[in-house]
Amino acid sequence: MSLSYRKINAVLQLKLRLMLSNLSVLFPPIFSIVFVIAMGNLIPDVDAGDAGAPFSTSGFLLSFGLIFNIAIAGITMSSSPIAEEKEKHTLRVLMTSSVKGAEYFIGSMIPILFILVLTNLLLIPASGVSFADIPVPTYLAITTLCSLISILIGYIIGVYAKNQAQASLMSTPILLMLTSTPVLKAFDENLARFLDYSYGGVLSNLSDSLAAGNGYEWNLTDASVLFVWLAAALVIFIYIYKKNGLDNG
Amino acid sequence: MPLVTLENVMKQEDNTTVLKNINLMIEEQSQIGIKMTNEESFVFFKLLTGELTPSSGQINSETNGILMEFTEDGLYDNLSVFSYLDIFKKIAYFKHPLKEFSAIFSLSDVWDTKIKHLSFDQKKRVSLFRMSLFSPKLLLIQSPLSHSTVEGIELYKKALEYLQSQNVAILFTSHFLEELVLVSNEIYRYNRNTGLEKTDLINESKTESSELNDTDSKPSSVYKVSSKMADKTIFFSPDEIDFIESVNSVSTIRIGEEYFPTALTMNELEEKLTRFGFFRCHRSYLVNLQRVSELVSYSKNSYTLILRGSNKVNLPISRNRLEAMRALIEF
Repeated sequence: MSLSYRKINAVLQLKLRLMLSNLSVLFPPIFSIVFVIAMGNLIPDVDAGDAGAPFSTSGFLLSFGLIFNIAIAGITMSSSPIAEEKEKHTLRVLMTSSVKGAEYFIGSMIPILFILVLTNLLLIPASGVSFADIPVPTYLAITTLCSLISILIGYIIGVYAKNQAQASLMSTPILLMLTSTPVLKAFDENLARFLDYSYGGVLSNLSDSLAAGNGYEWNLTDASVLFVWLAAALVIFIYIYKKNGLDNG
Repeated sequence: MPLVTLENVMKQEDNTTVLKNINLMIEEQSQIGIKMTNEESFVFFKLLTGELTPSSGQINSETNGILMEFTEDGLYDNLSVFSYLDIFKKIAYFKHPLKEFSAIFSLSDVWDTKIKHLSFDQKKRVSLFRMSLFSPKLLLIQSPLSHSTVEGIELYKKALEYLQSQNVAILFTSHFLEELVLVSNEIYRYNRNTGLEKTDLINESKTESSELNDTDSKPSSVYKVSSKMADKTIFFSPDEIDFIESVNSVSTIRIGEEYFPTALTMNELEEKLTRFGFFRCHRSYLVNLQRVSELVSYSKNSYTLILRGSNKVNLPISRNRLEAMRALIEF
């Protein structure tokens, strides 16, 4: 299957123009930064172990911000536009105008991924973690892989759902599970071990290590977890896409 | 050479026959109208573009440049007309400046307006402009003028003339024959039982020239009921007509769900159509007896004729006319 760079670029420009004409799409990533700053002002600044605190404030905030951005923004920003396009029958027009499904997905993914990666970087100062303590390439690699997984999960929901209401209904339980990961990990050790096998758990481990000043080192478990999630999301996405097509409305 | 040829095409979906007996040849530059439902049209378009394969019959397509537009297709409301078309210009690899064509599609004054602020007519022209960017050979358009204003129809026709000059063939489908008459040169009606039937149609200008060439020879066995719509006259074969009703002293031909006024009086029509199996069942009704499926008596002196078809039309028949009908069809 040959893809056209020109058509991918056209879809990318279409998505950028749609984002600029409807800034509400950018609310989730902006809100994740605002939320982290607001929480940082409300929660007392403690390090892990201080006065029996189970987590450090900055680690908790970074972890929460990353989950918020990657899970909520990543999934909603990718699922909602597909569902909206199906609902408003604009996707069919693109498809009948010789744009292939893969070109549409790649063109749509680029601006979302860029916004997510940018927000992931901005969350570091927003949460109070020092840039000097961050191994930026590792941080970028892990957060970008997690963002990609979220986008793929969003695509699965978008392709499966027939309209926006159905997409948001399907997203809710997934978002609830992902956003509660940092809190559940902090309060229950058994659950924490189980959650280490989720990509939200890997994100939480990363931010906790960075906040504790221990630095973060890649380990086989985290790397495997991320690649298994990425591969599984990709396989499910391809299966659902082949079964349902892009415009089954 | 025809762009697309369909031979005895039949399509079944979910054990239901959606289309059958479709025989059609689409030539370059032709503007064809087919009266069919949206469901039938959806399947028909997908057969023509190759997205669906016919259950039987053959479709020979000499072109890949087929684009389709459905009634419910949307535009990106938050983009301006230029912004929207510019995206499709990139997809289509259209090399000329868009602005040069804005006047053809009558969009110059709304060029920078957001699509959500456009009227239905303007949106339809944006859609037509978008499809023209792909230099298509054949456009398949579903019900383009169903909500259009008179001015909108004129501007749409102007854009169609441009497309025709570019050798583009266009096939329209609609529920309503009136709509197809406005945009097509060749009209067909899809009948679930018999398939595609051509409706005779002549343009006003052609009528005038044909009058000049009129000869003395007139076939005696041919009769068609005419109805004038806008600048065109449609001819109906007697066997197409369900019944004729007098509405406010105007004889109105009823075909399926549609009404077509005719200039002839009920008496004139009765005289012409009796030999084709029509029967004056009531002062205001002339019924095609081939369409009658039931005769029901609700009281001693009241009888009703029920016609075939999904809508089960009831027509009154008086007792003395019943005797005449009884003698006519011997029941």
